[in-house]
Amino acid sequence: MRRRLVPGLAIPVLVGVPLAMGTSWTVDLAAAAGGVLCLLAVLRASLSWATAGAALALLSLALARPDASSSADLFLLVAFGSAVVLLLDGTHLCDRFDGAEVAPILWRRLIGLWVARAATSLGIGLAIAALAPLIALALPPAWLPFVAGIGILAAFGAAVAWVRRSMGG
Amino acid sequence: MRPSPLLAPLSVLTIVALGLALAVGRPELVLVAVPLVVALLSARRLGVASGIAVTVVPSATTLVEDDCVDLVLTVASPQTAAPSIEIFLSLPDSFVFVDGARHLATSLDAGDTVERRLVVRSTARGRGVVGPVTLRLTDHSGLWVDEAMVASPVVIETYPRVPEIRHLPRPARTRSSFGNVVSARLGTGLEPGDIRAFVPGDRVRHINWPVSLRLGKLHVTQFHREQNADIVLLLDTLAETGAHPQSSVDACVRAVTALATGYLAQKDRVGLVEFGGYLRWLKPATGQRQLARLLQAAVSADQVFTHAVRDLDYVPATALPRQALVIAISPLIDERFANAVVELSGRGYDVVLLAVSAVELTRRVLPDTPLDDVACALWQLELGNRLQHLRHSGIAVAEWRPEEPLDIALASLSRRMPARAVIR
Repeated sequence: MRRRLVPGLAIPVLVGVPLAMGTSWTVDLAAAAGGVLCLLAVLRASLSWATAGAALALLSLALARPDASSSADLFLLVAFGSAVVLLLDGTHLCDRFDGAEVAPILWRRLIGLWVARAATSLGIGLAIAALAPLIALALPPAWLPFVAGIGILAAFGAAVAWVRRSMGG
Repeated sequence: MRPSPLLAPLSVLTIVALGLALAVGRPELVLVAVPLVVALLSARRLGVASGIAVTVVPSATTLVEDDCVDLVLTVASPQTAAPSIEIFLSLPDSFVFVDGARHLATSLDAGDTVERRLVVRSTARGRGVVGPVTLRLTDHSGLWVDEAMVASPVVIETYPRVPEIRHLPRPARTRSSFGNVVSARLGTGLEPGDIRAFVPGDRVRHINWPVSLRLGKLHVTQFHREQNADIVLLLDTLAETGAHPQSSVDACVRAVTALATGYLAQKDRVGLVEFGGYLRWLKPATGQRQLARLLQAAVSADQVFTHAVRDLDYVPATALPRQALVIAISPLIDERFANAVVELSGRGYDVVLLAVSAVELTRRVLPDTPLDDVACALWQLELGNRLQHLRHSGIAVAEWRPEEPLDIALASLSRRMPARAVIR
């Protein structure tokens, strides 16, 4: 049962970050609803509930996000994304390992993977935060939304290509 | 290899995060998607689950109820690494884990071998199949899985626990072979029988000196022969009540094994007729091999209901000898079994009925309501009435409540020594 509660560590981040950034009632409502769904997902080890809760938490963050960014916000945003991954991955693992006897080596490897992922995400986040102002300065303001869109599409395309290559060899 | 259920939510949330960043015009929200994209990119190529070798070796293939058995599970990944491997061991419900679990998860490098000793207890008689083993291989990220069924099944037979009994119903008729049953016939034996006048050829040591002195003429003591007997155990599998492994058929099977063990220990020939949906029989025989055959038949005995009226005429005479003591074991739920017993008695068979009271066994699985209390009380009365009716039909009847020792019920069936009807 204690193992099942581990993904619950993500809930304070998923609810707290949007509430810390915005104060409107829509943000409060979306964050609270997302938190309830995430809690249900953790208790029932349900990936569907976790997806719905994480989507609501993302929505509340989008509504709450103030305009200017700082280094503290960068850390919070990466932590928020990592919390989403922890919630999904943790819920999925709890569902998979329900009633199972799990060898300690597997836990060690999973924890190592999670730490490595979080560190990589933070590094990439730092790189984006460092490069984004330089690009903004170098390009005319009218081009910026297009560059952002191209970047997003390129990142997602790369992810899909990577996954396909992993699957098909 | 196929995507796991985790891939779709991760992909959807990545798109949602990126889409929201575009929709609200705040590019810094892309940073939220970074860990999700990293998680998606951490997927790796996966080996084939069927390439992993799994063996399950039990420490014993025959058990007695409540015995424990060690299952040595060996998992080897000779070629590819298995970052996360889950093993689902298929076991019957009657097997309870003492050490270990049905579902194991571990991680293997290429060439690694993992051995795990599981201890399971068999709680009920039956033929249990251990295996096959289902393997689920997952990559580090948990995004890709491959499943396979490996390892051939192993059959483990659980024999019913045999309660110790000292009182066995005495057969009225015996066979000509040597045994432990004191026969009505006179001959060589230990049990004194009749006394008659000495005739030439009688052994001197058989002369009964006190009688001879009193009567003034030599008399000899005759002895009862000690012979073996044919015992046929008639098992009722027409109906069953209660929950396995404490059902009425389970109780009947325990009685069968106890009686078979007891009679075979005193060199009698024991046979079995299973009277149910299927009519099965084992011809009477003696020895340890027959005990093993009887136990195997008892392991698989199960209730099979049929509307067809079963007739003991189908049982060959060699399986149901005329001189045999027939011990019918039944919860007396189905009227047809009682009719068959009465018919056997009417044909001149020496019949004893061990009525296994299933009232308490059924009461255990019913909710504790006054209505069920009344129903069970009525059932008990009806059972008593039926037993009385069978006693009036000339059948020796004993009622056994499975929560009590079997010996108590069998003690009430103890018969007197055979009458001194001298057969010359």
